[in-house]
Amino acid sequence: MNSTPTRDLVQVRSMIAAHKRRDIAFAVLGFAALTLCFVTFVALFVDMLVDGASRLTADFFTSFASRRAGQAGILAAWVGTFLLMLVTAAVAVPIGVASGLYLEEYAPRNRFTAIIEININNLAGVPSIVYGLLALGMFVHTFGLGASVLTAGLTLGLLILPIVIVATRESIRAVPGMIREAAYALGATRWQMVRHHVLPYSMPGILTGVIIGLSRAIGETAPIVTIGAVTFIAFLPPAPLTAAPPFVSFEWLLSPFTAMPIQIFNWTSRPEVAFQQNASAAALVLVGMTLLMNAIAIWLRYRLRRNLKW
Amino acid sequence: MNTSEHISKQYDADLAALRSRVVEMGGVVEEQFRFAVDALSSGRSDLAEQVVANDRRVNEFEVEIDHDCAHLIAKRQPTASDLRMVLGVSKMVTDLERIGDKARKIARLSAAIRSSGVPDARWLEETHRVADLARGLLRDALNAFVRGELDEAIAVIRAAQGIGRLVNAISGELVRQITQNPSQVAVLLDMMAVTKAVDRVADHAANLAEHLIYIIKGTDVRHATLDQIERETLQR
Amino acid sequence: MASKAPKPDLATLQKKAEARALNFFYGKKQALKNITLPVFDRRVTALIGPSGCGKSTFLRCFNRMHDLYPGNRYDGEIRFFPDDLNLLGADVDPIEVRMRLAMVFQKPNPFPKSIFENVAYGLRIRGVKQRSLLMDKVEEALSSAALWNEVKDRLDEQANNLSGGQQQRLCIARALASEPEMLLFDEPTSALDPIATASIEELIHQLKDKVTILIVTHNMQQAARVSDFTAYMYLGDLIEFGWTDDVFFRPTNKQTEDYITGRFG
Repeated sequence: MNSTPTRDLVQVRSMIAAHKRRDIAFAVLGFAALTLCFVTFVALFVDMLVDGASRLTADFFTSFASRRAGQAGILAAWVGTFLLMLVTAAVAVPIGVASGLYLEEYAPRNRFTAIIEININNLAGVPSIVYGLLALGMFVHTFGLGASVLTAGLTLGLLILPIVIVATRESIRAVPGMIREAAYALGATRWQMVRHHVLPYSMPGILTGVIIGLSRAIGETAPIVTIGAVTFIAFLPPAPLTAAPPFVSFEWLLSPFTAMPIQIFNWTSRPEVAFQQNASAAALVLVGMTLLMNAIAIWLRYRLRRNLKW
Repeated sequence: MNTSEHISKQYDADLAALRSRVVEMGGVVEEQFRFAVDALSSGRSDLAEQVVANDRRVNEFEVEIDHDCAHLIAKRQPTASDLRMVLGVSKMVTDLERIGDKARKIARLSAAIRSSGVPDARWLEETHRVADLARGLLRDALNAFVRGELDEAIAVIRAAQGIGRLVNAISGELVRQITQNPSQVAVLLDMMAVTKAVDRVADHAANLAEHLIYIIKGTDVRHATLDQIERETLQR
Repeated sequence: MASKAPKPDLATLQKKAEARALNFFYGKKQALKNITLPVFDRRVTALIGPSGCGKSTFLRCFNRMHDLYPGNRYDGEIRFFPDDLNLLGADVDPIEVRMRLAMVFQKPNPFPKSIFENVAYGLRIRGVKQRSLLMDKVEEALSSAALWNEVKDRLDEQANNLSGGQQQRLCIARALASEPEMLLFDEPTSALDPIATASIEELIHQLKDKVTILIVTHNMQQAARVSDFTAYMYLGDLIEFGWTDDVFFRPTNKQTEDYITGRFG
């Protein structure tokens, strides 16, 4: 080259320097955004902690709600939420996973299934109160199930169904075609391939979807308020295990109930400061329950993933 | 022989270089033989010495070309017609080197034969004639190689048999002279050696044609009769 | 070099399979055109040809892999011996076909399970449950695949921890475990380094006395080394078929010659 290399080198260097400046600028902005988020969450959490930590006594967990703030507890609420999550999972997981599996592995690819796919994806964005209204009309009145754990569980189950279905489909899609072909080439039927290879490998992903769904459901207030969950309840649903045969009872499904979000909402709307403290404490417990669910899921995923590697 | 081009131009160049080296060696060998026979006919000892000295070049050719063949095989793993070409060339080079050896032998013996005064004009003339025929065969074989012509190769093999008969006549005459003039047996034996050498040159030329048939057709006709050769090669 | 015994006449050799007037269509596109080709029993037959010539398509017809995807159509037959079954018959269950022919793929694809479970899978879906029987057959398969000594102490380890060459041998063991009548190799060494490739080729040589092998390869030298018979395909047509020795020394078809010698442009 005839043009002086030194001049080109200078140009290149200044260009690189300009790009690097932009690089650093973005890093700074990104960090600032992250800090903002982090600080906000920490502030909210600390506020809650400061306000309600003092109320986290054993009594708090074992007492029913009361007009006297100091004696009010979340027993009915957390038991209700727990039972609710059980029913929600029992509804959403089998139906969601089976639907996702069918859509991904068995259904033919035609316009009909494409429409179904679009609809399912859209259902994830429907406001939750709409589910509440649907449940009110269908479960509470038409089926006559009343404002029970079962109704709420079915409602929330429907709510998170799209999330579970989508997560199931995504995880199944992630299974490499080579593994499927290898299984088929050995003489496996479609169900054998799905059962022995696809499902085990997509379990971690499905589990993640289920937990995401349940984490959303645990905090849903609007639908369960709509179907009639009460705020003041001084009894627990009947125990599932009985002393007398047949030793297992399902009466608790049809029992009235309350849930943590409702209790929190109820306490927040009272003027007394003590009730605000109760609300903060209950919110802490709710966050704790959510984290516990996530932890279980992480542990389960870890156990499953230990045996699997692509 | 497959004349279309390889995807690798370098491969084409390697093969072309190999072929041209063989042709070059053939030219040198043909010239050696011609000079040797001329040295015998004309009695020019300087020509004879030149032939003897030049044999070194022929040997160098053989070593080089064989070396190139080995490296071509290692590098390119030739198959089908390319493989037959490389193997065939390696064999041809052996025969060419032998022809060079015969030329040297004729040159070496020519001085002693001439100075003895034994050979008559007839022997010289006949030997020269047969040698010319043999040299013609060599040239035809090399041309057939250059052109890749199967028919020409078969013609060479056929003609070589004719030379064999002529050589038998000459050596028969020499045998008679040996029995009649035993005192000249040393020179006569030298003359016999020259006659045999010319015969061997024709044989080697026929071998070149056989290797060419191998290259073109893939059939090994080294120990087949002419009839078998024609049947084998002209049917497919 | 092999012994100087003359090659047996093709008419006297036993066939394991034979494609007869086989055509294949991906939707409207015809990928195989009227292929008639024998696959001789307990011999290695290689399929060579440039990309897109249909050799993998042809191979995958044998174990009905095309049935897994919509829009594919077979026309013609592949007869399978000794019972003279048409593998492509509409009344023939593809699962049954795949139980008799096993396939090894281009990229090693062991299941993300243990080494033992990989090899045992084929047996499990054939109903073998007894642990001792599984153990025996797994050991046999791994030995046939020249992998037993390397993995016998770590059968419960993840298959993905093995090297590429070992993984491919594991896939071969997996295919062998169910004692297939024919092995289909789809470019089995193209993802492997030269040493792993050589060990797989050696393995093929050992296996061929027991099982018929049909191998697709884009490496011509491999076809020359490994196979008894070679078929050259081009754009869906079968151009030439014959003893590997003949095809590579003296091919009858100029197209074959051009491909083999690298004049294919």
